[in-house]
Amino acid sequence: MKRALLLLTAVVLAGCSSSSGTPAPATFNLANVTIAYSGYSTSNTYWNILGKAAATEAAAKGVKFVDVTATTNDSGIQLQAVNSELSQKPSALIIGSVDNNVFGTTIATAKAAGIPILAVDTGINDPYISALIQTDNEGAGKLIGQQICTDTGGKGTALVLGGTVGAQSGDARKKGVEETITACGLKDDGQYGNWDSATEVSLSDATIASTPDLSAIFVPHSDGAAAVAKEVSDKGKTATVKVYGFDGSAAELTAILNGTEAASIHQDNVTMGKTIVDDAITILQGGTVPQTVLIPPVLITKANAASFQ
Amino acid sequence: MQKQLREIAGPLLGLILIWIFIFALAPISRDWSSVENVLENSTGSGLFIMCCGMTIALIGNCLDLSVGSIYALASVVVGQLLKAGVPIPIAVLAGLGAGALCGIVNGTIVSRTGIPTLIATLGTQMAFRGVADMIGAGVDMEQFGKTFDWLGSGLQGPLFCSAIAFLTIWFILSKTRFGYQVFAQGGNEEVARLAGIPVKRNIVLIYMICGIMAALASIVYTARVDFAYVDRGQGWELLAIAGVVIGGTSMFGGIGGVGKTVLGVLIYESIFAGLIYLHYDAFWQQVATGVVLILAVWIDHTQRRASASRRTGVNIAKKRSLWSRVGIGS
Repeated sequence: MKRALLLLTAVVLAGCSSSSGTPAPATFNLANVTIAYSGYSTSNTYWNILGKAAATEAAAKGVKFVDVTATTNDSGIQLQAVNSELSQKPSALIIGSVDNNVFGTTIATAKAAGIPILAVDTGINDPYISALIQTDNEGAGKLIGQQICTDTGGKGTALVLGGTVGAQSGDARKKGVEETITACGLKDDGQYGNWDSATEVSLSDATIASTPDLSAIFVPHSDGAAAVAKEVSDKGKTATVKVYGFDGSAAELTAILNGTEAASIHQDNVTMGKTIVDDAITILQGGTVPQTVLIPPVLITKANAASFQ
Repeated sequence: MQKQLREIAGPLLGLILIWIFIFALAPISRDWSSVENVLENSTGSGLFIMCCGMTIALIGNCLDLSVGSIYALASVVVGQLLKAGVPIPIAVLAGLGAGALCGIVNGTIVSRTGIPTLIATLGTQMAFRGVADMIGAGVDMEQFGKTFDWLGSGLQGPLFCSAIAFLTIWFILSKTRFGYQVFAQGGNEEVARLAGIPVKRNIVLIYMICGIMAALASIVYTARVDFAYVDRGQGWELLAIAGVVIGGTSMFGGIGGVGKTVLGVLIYESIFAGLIYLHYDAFWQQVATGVVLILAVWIDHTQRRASASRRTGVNIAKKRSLWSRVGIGS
């Protein structure tokens, strides 16, 4: 029910523009369709769930699904994998990009071959991209920002971490948080943790030591948020420094229920995986899909964390 | 003793200058907690322990780019076992065993096939990461209990584990025949072979020790954050190399020591913390570390050239370069 409601809201939030594929040939047969997919990395739980949901949907629709996700979140390796797969002429290509700025040549090649490209979770800034499905990252950042304002009363400094510089989703989350907290009077200390939990823990430790009025830390992904929450708790600072995360993994949910993490964001990665495959098929059939679908985020707090476990 | 002091004078002076700079410009840092913070992050992240393993690897001329993946693999091996209710000592031993096994694989490939270390360990880096994914991707592994937590929380446990790593590598390098052989073959592998040193066996041992240290580093960090996760250690091989080289261990093999690595890691972490104390962006830490790393390699390179010229009276041109050892150029 929750998922259906989210999807309904997502459709409402969908961009006005839409994408349509070239008309499908009269002999269009789903059994001849191959959808290639490259996610962020196979090492990441969130992405594994998304990839699995996409593969399950493809199997249900009777299309071939080729997953070329690399083991590491290395944009070079991802680009190489995507380009290799592109040479095999798949019917459509779905990309969950590590670095959304590296696909210029890939897009040109796909365009020349008439292969539609769809983006999932992270936008790729090119008009050729047929569809994008992602969490409303900036909206989610604002949601977390509002929670930070409520919890801290707008007092003190917040350490707001981004992912890697230029990573669209991390930047949007950071922007959403920063805009909201500065509006309610908090001082903003923005940094980038490179999606690496050890770096994020080190950054948090150093900021705790150097910023006496630190009242909140936002970490834009799950592994880092749970690690920072544990570190802050070990330092006995949970009462004064609230930790906020993103993705709501099991470790984060435990931390929220324990009171060591204040809040996180639930992303509906199952809906994203399923819908992006459906969109790819619709485009291949000559149908129309929204250019951008923003899945609304859900704030996870101690009050509702148990329902996500 | 005087020679050893002379050797560490550069990095030691660098570390002192960094802290004078930090204390002068960031009054907030004039507190034990600032120093404690640097010690905690050096040891609790496992970086120092990983650097101990990388020290023996670089001295023995055995570049290892797979340590980051071993770090991830050991985390999920220990996490899965603890989650299954296996007693902590057995889970920890299994994690260390996984590291040792990875090291043996690396060493066997390098010593038996002659594939350049860069290529061999780049390949195993991907392979080990893949194995880690198979074991731990998408699996929740958390809340391992207070006893395991001690290994990584605060300063005590990580310092204890780091001391074990330090003393082990120090003992091996300075008190054992194998240690002397590591220096000898790192300085000139061909001469060492002609002198009867079992170079191939030593390569396997070096990689095994390096693998065990990467696994121990991972266990400490897993305990620190109290959950295992497969997406860890990416890019850490370069951090480990940087920490070791900044301390003064040579990238070219045959020269170095784990005492220098203590200074190297402290310099790295001090730059990181110092810039945050001074409210600079973390980007500057990367710039500063890069500059220090280049300086350290340049000083090492210059000293080697000067030393070789003094010894032989000829140019060092015939000395095998780093690039030839990793398979690029001649």
